[in-house]
Amino acid sequence: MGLAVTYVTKNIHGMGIYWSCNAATATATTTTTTTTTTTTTRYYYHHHHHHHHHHVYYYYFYYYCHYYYYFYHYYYYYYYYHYYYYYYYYYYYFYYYFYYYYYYFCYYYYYYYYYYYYYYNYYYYYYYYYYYYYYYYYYYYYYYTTTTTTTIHTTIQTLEHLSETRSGLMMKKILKVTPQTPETDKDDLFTFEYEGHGTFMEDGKHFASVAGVVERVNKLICVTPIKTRYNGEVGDIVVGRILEVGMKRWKVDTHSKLDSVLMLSSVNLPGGELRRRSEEDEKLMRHYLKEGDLISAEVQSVFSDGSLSLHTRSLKYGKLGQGTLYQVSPSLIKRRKTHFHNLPCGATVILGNNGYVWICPTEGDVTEQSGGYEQNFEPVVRADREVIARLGNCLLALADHKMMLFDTSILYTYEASQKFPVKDIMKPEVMTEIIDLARQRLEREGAT
Amino acid sequence: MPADSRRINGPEKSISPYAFSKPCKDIKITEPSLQRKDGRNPDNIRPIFLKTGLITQAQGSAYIEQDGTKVICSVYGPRAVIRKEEFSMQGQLTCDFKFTTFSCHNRRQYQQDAEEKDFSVQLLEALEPAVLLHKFPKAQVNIMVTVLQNDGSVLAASVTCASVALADAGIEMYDLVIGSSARISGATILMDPCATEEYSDKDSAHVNNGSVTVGLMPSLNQISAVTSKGELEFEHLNKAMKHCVSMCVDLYPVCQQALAVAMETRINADPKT
Amino acid sequence: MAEIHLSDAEKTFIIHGVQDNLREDGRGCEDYRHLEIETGLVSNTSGSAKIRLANTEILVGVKAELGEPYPEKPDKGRLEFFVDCSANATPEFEGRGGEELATELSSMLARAYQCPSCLDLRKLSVVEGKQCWIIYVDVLVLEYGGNLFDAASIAVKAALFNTSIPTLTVSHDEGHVEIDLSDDPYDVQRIEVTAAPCIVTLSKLGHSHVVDASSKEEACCLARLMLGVTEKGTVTAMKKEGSGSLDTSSVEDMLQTGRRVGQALNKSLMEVLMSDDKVGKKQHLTGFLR
Repeated sequence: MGLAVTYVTKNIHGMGIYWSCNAATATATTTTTTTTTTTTTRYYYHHHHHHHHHHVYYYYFYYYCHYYYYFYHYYYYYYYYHYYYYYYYYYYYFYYYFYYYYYYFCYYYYYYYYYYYYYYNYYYYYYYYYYYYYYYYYYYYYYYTTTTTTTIHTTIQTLEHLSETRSGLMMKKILKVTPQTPETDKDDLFTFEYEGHGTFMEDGKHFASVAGVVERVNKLICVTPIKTRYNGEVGDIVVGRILEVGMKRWKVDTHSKLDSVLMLSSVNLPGGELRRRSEEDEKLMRHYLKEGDLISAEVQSVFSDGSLSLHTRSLKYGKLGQGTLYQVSPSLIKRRKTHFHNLPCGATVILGNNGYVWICPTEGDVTEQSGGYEQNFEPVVRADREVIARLGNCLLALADHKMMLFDTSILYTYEASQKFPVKDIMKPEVMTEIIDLARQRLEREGAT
Repeated sequence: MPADSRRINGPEKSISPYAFSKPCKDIKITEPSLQRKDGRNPDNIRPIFLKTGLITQAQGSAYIEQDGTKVICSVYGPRAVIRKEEFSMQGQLTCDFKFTTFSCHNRRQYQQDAEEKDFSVQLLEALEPAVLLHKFPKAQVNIMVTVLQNDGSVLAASVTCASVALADAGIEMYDLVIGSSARISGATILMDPCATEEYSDKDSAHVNNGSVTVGLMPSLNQISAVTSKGELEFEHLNKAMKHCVSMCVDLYPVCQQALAVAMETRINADPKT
Repeated sequence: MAEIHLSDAEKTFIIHGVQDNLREDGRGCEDYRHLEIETGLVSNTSGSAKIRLANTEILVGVKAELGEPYPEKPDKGRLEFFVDCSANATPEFEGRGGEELATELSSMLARAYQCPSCLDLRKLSVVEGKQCWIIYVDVLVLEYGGNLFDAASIAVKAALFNTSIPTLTVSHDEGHVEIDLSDDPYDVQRIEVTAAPCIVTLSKLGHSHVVDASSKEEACCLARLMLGVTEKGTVTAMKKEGSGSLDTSSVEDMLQTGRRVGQALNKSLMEVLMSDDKVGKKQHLTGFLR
């Protein structure tokens, strides 16, 4: 009455977690004393900073049916984590929500009570809660299976949906949702009516169409894949390369599904004039931006087919001068208030939301605000060049280890790499060492 | 080699009768003063005959004869690039090199084999630096080289011939590209080797046995092509290259003169000018 | 080569860096990137090797078969190269796109291995004039991230080192020749590759040249010189590639660098292969799982 399912996966931070659930074994480590033959639990520990209350939630739910046995699990955890991550056993905060096909009032109220109760309490109660839950849970299932052979869809939802906007912290969620897994079910109280990206509906049930993280906002459910092409949103900063010069527009490559567009009316004219673009301007388009040039821009709007319309209306955007471009996965770039960082080591880093990262020497204040019309072809000083090379290698090392990229993480990695010569950073052993150092420091200092 | 499905081929397995002949003795080239088979000195190059304008249909053409080596080249273009995806702001050069089947000692295939494809690429790379590609955007120039008789130094002769043909076609160039080759055997360097003197891997002498081909733009003193075969010590390779460069410089006025003669005849023949 | 477009400012940055002997990732002009070699991966071949040079990944398989020698060289075996640029490497290689690059690479490899001192082909002859071993070397380009020729030649050398050809016993029987293949899997003949060349590509950037160019550096460089260099420091093949031209003096400089780098590369490669060989079959293969 179950499948042995083994998962080997790397979560978004590159840690390998080996799970195996075997229908026959109950391998819960903390308090399970049930003798059910139907479930296995794995508990994941995430030990983190005491100051932050909301962070570790471990969500766990079963999808159990007469013939199938699926295992989903969510966990929220800090984007940087303790080096005990190899251990399978965690104790955690959690609370669940269960949705059942057949709704049992008493059940629901019971949990509802716990929901509020739990919300304000910490882990002291979880054992109790868990135990209680478990007992009932199994009881329920036991009861259920004897009476019906229909499938039960269950979902565990996090009530406390910690998004980056609310707490200012980036939470990484791993949901082992693979395509074709039924994720939700119609329920009287908590119905998912709207399906977002990454889901589709069939036979009245929502299914995930990609493997990734589930996000739920009220009645909208969507699944975002871990590794994807850049999906633009209004207000994002992107770094793009000009692909072709067309009629009153430039086609820009931003590592998304379709090429983005930069309209002639969305760029600043030289000298900061404000006027209607004439035919002369069209002919001079190539003098400003031609094929192969790099620009930093902001997403103005998103067309219906998903392509982006960019603009460089501010002086901090525009054509980029001397420097190097690195390409990483867009999901590694943390969403922040600002993506332009002037690092203290002497270089400027632009973290484009689309995964293109630009590193260049910090120019003086005078030329900074020119919108890219004046290009400086002077040779860059060797010291600056070394800084840029080191930063670039650190960036690639972070990307390789699937760490989130933001100014602090890059800076810490940079400082950790100081004891090695620049070219050695690309060696795997050195990379692992400096990433570990950086990770520990990030955790210690609780940087955001 | 893909099978040629469009022609009726001869018997599949045929061997050249020379394979059964006794291997000829290695050319003992130990003394620098030794005369070569055709009576030349090691530094002498064969007399060159160069003429342009043989193929009337082509924009430009040239024919070169270096004693036994006879190469003909024709240039078509600039003309529009057929496929739209291949538009580029720079013009494109394509090169097609082919030995005729009877040109070499052993019969060659109808289809272009790997060696000919290799020569095509090398020829293209020799000529590209000399042509002002940005003067004909979105257009292509096709260079077709056919070797009628191969008696050694075929790549060098083709390079010279092709650049003269390009000039004849009126395509803007920075400079003519002159090709020259040399055979190194021990301490001796033989300029402009003929087929029997050319390097082949059958030779028993292992080290310092090879050949070098150089394509040079004499006015700019820039090397646009250099290839070598055989195991060579670095110093000998260097020395051979220097000899080739000087040979190219010597050949330059010959090519210029051939072009000038062609211009004159054309101008004189045309009643309007 | 696969196209990467760079802006003028980026190209200037790279070229200035090269002239300063500090490249984009901090390397000097003569430094190679991190190189990983693994031999003996594919079980159905006589020898195989996989190389990973940063973003370039190449797999070489060697198969030894019996066939007829060339009529002009009856006492020598044959060595045939074939290169396949798979569409995996980059979308431009789809269909026949990668054919041109593949032909260039195979002809360069053939030329580099052509000279008689590289591999002793006489040992591969079974019955003179009638049967010999034909070594088919097949190169598969899995990922292309710059510096294809160097990586391919290193992989070929490693694969040939790894090749084991079963020993044959030839018996002449009343004018009839019989060939027996030995049953013992350890009774094999290895190929001596100490004198085999490695191709070193020198890309001209500005006034200086670099070894092991990444794809960005390749996009800025107009002319390249490829040398097949042996351990002794001799040049077995030389080819200039690219649409730019080279100064006569820079060619000399590049040859010097190439020889130096090539010798060092050959030496360290042989050391690694020898030590790898000593470990033998007990080693744990990483294979394709990173």
